Amino acid sequence: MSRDGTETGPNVEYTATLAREVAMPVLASGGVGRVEDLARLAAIPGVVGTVVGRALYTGAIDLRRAKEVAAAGAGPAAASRG
Amino acid sequence: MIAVIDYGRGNLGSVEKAFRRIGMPAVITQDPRSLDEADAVVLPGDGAFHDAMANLDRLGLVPALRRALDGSRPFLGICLGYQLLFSTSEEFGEGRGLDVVPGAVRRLPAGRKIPHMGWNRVEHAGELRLFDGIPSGAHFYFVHSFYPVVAGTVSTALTEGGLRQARVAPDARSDASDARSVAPDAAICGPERSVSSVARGVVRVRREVCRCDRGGADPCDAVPSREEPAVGAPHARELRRHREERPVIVIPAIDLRGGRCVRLHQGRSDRETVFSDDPVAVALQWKELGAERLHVVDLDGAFAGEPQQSALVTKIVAAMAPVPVEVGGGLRDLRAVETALETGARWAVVGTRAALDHAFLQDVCRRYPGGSSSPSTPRAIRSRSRAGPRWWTTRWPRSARGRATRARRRCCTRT
Repeated sequence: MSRDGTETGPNVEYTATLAREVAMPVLASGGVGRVEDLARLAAIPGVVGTVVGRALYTGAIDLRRAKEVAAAGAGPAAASRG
Repeated sequence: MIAVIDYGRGNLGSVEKAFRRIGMPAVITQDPRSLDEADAVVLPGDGAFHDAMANLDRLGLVPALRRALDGSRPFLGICLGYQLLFSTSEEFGEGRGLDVVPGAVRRLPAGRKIPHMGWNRVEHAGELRLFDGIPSGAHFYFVHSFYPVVAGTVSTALTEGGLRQARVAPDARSDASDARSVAPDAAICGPERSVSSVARGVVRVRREVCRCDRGGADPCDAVPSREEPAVGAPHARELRRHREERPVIVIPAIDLRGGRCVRLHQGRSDRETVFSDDPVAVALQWKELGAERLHVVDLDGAFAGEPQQSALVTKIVAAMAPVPVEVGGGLRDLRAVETALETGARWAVVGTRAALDHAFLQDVCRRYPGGSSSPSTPRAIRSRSRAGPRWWTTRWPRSARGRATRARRRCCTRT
């Protein structure tokens, strides 16, 4: 929450912990400011989606580009979960 | 209203529970008039074929049942209730059925394990309404000792099951005597599984009813076959693998406040930036850019503790179709969750109360199943976590830190 609307970068570490511990799909949300943030979140096993707000509105992130990056992030790491 | 026929031979509890889970109440009835007035009719059943027919006859339900099967309304036959539609059955001796679908119900051939239990692929040519949105070759769970052999030209779906017999449904568009929607004969064993099997059929009935009532509105998608609960079979692993390989999606967020599209800074109501006065136009913009899902937060609802902008959310959901929408903000009780889903949103996001009150989260998950059993696209509810250690909330105690994980784990164990 403290990252929400700040574009300061998501809390990747905590998101990864959460995703690992709950063993269910997680949507990451809050603080995504750049496409690099998306790539880092998308690489976390268990993360199936990312919510992006302000950065899309300010133009810091382009949705089409974001989709490509996020899709690429779900590679072998995600597949190893099952 | 949906009428579930009680003729003393039914898995009524499972059926009724399944309807309740999707938020569409059904009446259990023995009254022929209720059948005539119903938007859709469900004939459940287990037990012996001729006993069941005798009961229907004794209760005077057969004429109303035939009227319900005239093609004007959705009809779902479950298990024995499905078999009764055929002309005859050899179960415990030949017995005359309702004869709505020409054919006979036969015992599975000797030499195979009976009852047959397991996942089978169901193939169809794409013209069955009941299978609308379900790809040919999808898996269904079967438990049965009998199977219908369809006479004549009705369309059917086929399952392998080692037999490749025509086994499933008459077609909606074949001649008038046919049932419009008939369940595959996915019969039923344990209570959990039975509910999930029935729920699929039930969702379809609901969809049919919605089509009739609202001119094509389709607020409630069926659970796609690849998101079957992962239970008991090698297929489950295969299904899970499908899920894992899905790309991570990017979900644009629209936060609504006072009818406008805004962003807050750290969730603070005094740090607001207005991005548009027309949230529907914004939604359409994300749709055009290829959004696969939209995240909508009713901020007024979040601050008020109950949904405030449902009318606007409904417009957004309609504009986004067929792109699904998740909605949150102020969903602190079941009624609010229902309100959120009535907008047509596919998912409701619960946060504040779910974190503080795990019984609430469990209630929600029970009422709207799918949240944890079909993870990437839950039908209903999933607790939500922002990427940080605290959830989205209006006034959160610091002690809530960490509860997210525990609450979600509890929710998860439900499956």
